[in-house]
Amino acid sequence: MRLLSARIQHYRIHEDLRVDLDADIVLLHGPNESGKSTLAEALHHVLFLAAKGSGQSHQRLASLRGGTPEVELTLEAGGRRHTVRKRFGPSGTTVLESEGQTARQGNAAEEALAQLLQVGEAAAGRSAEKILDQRWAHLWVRQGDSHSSPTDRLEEAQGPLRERLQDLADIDLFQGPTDRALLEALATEVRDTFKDNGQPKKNSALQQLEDQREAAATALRKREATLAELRGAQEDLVQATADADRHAEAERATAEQRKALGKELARIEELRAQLTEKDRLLNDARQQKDAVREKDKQIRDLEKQIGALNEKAAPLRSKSAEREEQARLANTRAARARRTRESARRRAQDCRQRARALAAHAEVLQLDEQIREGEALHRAIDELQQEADALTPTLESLQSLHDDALAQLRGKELRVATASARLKAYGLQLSVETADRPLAWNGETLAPGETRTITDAGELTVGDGTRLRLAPGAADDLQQAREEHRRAEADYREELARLGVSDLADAEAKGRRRAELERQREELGGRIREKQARFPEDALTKARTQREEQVQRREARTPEDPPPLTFADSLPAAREAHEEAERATIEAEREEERTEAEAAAADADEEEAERLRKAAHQELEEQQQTLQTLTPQRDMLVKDHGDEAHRTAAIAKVEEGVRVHERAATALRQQLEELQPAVREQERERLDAALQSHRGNLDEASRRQGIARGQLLGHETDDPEREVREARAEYERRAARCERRRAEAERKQELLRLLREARRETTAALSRPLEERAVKYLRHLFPKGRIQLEWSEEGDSFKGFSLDRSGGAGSHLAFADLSHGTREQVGLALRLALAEILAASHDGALPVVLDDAFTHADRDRIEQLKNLLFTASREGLQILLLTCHPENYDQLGGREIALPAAPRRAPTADAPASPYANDSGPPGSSGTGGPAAESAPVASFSSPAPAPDDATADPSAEAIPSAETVPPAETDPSAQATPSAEATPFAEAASAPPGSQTPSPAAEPESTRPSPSDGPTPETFLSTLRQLGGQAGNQKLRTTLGCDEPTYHSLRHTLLQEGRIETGRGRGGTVRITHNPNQEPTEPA
Amino acid sequence: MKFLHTADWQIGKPFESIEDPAKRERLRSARLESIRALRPLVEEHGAAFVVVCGDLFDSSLPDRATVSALCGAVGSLGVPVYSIPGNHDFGGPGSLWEEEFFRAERTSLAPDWQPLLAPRPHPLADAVLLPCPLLRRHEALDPTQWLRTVPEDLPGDLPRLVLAHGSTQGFSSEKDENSADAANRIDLAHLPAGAYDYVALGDWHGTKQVADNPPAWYAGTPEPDRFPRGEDNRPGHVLLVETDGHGVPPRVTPISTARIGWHAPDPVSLQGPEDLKALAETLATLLGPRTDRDLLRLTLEGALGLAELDQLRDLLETYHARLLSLEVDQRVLPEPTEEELHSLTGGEDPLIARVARTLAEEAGTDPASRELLRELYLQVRAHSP
Repeated sequence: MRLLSARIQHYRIHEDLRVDLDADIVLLHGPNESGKSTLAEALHHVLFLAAKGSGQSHQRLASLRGGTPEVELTLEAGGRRHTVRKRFGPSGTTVLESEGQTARQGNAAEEALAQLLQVGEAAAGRSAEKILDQRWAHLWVRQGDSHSSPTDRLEEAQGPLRERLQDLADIDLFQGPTDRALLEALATEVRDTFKDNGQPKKNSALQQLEDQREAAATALRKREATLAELRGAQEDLVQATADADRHAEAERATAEQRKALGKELARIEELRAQLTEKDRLLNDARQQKDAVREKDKQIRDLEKQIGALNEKAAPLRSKSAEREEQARLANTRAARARRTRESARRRAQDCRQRARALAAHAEVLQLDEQIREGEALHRAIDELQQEADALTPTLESLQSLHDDALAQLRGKELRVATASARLKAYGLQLSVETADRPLAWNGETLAPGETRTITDAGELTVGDGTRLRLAPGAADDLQQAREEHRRAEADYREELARLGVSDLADAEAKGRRRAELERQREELGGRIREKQARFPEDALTKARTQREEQVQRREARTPEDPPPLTFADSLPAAREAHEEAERATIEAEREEERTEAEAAAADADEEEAERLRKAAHQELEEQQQTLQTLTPQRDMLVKDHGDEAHRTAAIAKVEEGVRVHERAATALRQQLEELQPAVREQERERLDAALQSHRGNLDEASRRQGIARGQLLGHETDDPEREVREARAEYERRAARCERRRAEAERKQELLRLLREARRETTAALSRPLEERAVKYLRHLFPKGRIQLEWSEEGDSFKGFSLDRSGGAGSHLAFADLSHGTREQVGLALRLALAEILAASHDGALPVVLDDAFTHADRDRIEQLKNLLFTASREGLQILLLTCHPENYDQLGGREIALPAAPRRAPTADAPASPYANDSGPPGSSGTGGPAAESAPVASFSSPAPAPDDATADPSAEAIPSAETVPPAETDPSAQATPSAEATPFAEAASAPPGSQTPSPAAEPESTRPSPSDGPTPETFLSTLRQLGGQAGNQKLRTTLGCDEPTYHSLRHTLLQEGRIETGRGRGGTVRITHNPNQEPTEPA
Repeated sequence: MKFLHTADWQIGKPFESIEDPAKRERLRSARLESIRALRPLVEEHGAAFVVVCGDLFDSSLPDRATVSALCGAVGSLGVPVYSIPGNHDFGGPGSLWEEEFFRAERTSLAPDWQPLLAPRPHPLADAVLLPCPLLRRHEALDPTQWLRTVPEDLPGDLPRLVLAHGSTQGFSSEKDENSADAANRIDLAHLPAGAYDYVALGDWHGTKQVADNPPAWYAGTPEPDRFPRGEDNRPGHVLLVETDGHGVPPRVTPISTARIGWHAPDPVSLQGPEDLKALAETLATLLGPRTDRDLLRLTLEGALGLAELDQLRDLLETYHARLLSLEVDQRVLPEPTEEELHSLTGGEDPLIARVARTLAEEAGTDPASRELLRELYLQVRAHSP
């Protein structure tokens, strides 16, 4: 179907507009408000809106200037040219003039038009707007609608589209009624049964069964527990009863044992009492025996002692006498020794006295010598003292002239000299060298050679007549100097006077004299001190004192010791005598010591002898005394206990008594021993404990019996064993039912999955032709881009699609997620693909109206879009592009129609041509516009579209669109051939009977179809299929055969019917040669 | 002198594997009825008394209603009844036999019933009973041990009847219930030869003589309570025992008492519609028009088409309703017929066809796919418009 021309009158802003649309690409442009969209809408309305109507759809069409809106459209469809003319309004009219047919009017015309356009009846009434909105929405992109999805308003086209795709994919039936019903039923059931995670849904029948199973399991567990409890109670009772019996028996046996043991224990007690009594008697006898024996022993001991004492007496006496004699002898020896010692002492004393006297004598002589020397020295000292004393008066006179006084004097003398010099310096030195006349200073004459220092102004008289007034300068200083000098002078004189010297020289001479005297006196003092040191005054005194002492000592002698002493006169002799005396003394002292020792020894001997004597004596005394004590004791005891024979008899008697008791006790003890009292008592303890234990155990067993009986009483009204078995059976039934239900649900789930998979494969096959065509367009935008169509849940309509820019897996972007610009462009690609698919049932052509459809495209994309549109035009689509930017589409090569900015006024008869001044041809008159009107370049694109299958099969096929399908073009490639070729089908179609079955575009004249002899025959079909291995995809086989789709499918259908080929599996549909064993041998090699 | 020997009544047995409580109750009451039904036999044969060799109750802790019902049934027999406890209703401290309620009900409803709870001779006017009661569930010692030495002071002329409960060589009810085998073993060979005249046994549910000297018999349960376990095991009888005094061999006659049918035919192989039809006929012959009186255990093998499987299911559901119990070991494989497969793969529905083809290809090796194919078939049938 193609649009050829249109005239629009009284239609909104268009008063009368004629446009010639007969071109592959028409670029309709004009400024805003120029009515482009109105034009597009008018074309849409004339096709699809019923003329008669008064609703909003119609009211909107009214022109501002009045008049009935009227649109006339000439189009080509079903191989004919048609003109439809509609006047819209409550009394609207429709006229359809079809070439070679009588014109139709009113409803008939509307119906014929709808049939021609293969759409439902014209939009009318209340739903008109809604119908219009959807009708051909995939081909008609309205202003502002460019980025919507082409699949959004596809409802009306879904059916025809799916049919076309089924044809292309060779799928006779997409899904059957049962397919659909079953899918729906299974989906519902699976959805109602399972959650996403595969678990049953809460309220699903399956979950209810699971719940029931769980409840049954719980009930079973509960009942099992109850039964186990009761069985336990039964067992407890059995055990407790057995225990109770056992404990009762044990108690009885133990009690018997205990009774028997009691008797034995009583016997033991009795024996014990007897034994105690016997032991007491034995003890008494023993004590008696011991007492008798004790006394006997005492007596015997005493007698033994007395005997012994008597025996010892004689030796003790002789020993005592011996000691007496020894003591006497020792006494004598000691007296002798003491006398010898006294004599030695006296001699030693004498010797010491002589030695002392002689020593004192020698000392006296020694001291005498010292005294003499000392006295000589003191005399010399006296002389020296007198000499020194003589110097003293002189020295005293010169006393003041010591060195300090001299230095002071020299200082003062120097100050005088200094003051004098200063005075002279300040004063005027007046020296008379020579004078021939008397000279006088202030009246004092000055002689030659005299010098005077003038310190005060004065008058110098020279002779008589000459008086000179002289005044020294600096009078104050001079005065001060003079004063200074005067004071120094006075001071100096005063000092001289004080020192008693005439001048400094005298003072110094006297000073030297003084120093000399001082030195002499010092030297005398030194000599005195030296002599005094050699023998001080007190030493002499001391020596005299000592001498006196020594003299006394020499004279002090014991008067009765007569030995005469001669004192030597000389010191050495005296000393020798002294030493001699000393030696004698030592000798005498040694003798004294010796005798002293001897005397001491003799004393000691004497003492020892005395001690021994006393000891012996005492021993004797004591012995005698003891004897005197013991004897009466013995006599007393003997008197009490009789003599020895008597005592012996008594002892024998008590000893016999002891033995008798001992034998009796031993006999008792043995009897007791034989009864094993310890073992018996332990036994008693054990039995008592056992008895107690048995009673406790018995109580415990009875208690357990009671508990178990109580538990068993609890059941009574029901049989827990049966309940467990029933509960288990119930559980197993529930579980089995649940499993069956689950298996069934899973089978359904699996069936659903398989059916959906099958449907997915089918829809994939269905999608492929459309996707392939879309890719052809998309390639201009995204060289590797792909489109993937999405199907509705029911699988019978397109729901949407996604874009994969790079052709890689998994990078699909849903259409809604694309940018506006990309949506426009990708949407266009799919629209064109849709149009191309649908065009096959519209003579291979369909108009695609794009009103301001690329508002979001940049310049590069615009360029790509141009290629895309051009491709579409080559596929037979008629592109009607409305834009306010015609400059964007300069190289598109379509026909341009410009609309003026201002709404046109009602046209005059000659006006129509003016808006199309640029057009090469005159505007087509309504209903008569012919192909000749087209310009040459446009005409070249209006050649019949190549069969769409060629274009989709292989992109390269596009380059030679008509090579196969239009053989005449091959023989005559000139452009001029095309218009005639176009004209021909028209004429042919016009003569063709109505309702022609030709499925391909009408542009394909029947005469140009390959004759059966030229095209593939069933035989070539089969042989080609064999060459391809006996099985091949439809697409590949058809390409190899080089035939068009209808031919291919016709052949395929025939062969399928004949059973010579069969369909195989595979996404695109395959065929394979039927395996017939009879035919196989005849296969060509 | 004649008496009836019976055992293993197991009154109160729950039959828990049967889902329907009413049917369970039906089986329980049938067991009780079979006790009451002994009355005519007692009268017909002039039995002096009845001995019951253990397991009168199914549970050691029966509920009161069961206790009362059994006392009532025993009381209805009209002759003295002597029983010993078995492993199910063992005696001893805390056992039901000692319970106050039981004693009261027995006194009130069955004054002629005398449970023998201790192993000591129980002389009667015309016989001496030698009971070997089980006093715990699993008795490690031979319950007849005390009879290995012949008790003193036994009357010389009266028949000596041993009552025991437990397994003998090769015969044990415990085998069926996988309990400890070593317990409650009775070694008849140890009983002194010629000392006793008849050993009345309980525990094994089949009726069977297991020894000649002295003659030892299992009475079996009067009402079968499980599917038959082979030719040898024939439950559903009581024994009529006739004795003429000590040293004279007694005459023993089994009398059939069974009322409920327990059927367990051989496995059936189903390969097609003919087999299905044959099965229906077999069942009709076996069970007739009876309802609520039979139990059936079926093992089904083979492979059927999907529609045939549905038919089979319908058939089984019918019997499920009629029978007290229908246990089916269903091993029949679903195998769609060509036609069925075609209905899936060749219909108007390409998706189903596609899935069905895939599953059919895998069904040969993959049981899961087979099941899925069957499910698909069912689902398609359910959801076809």
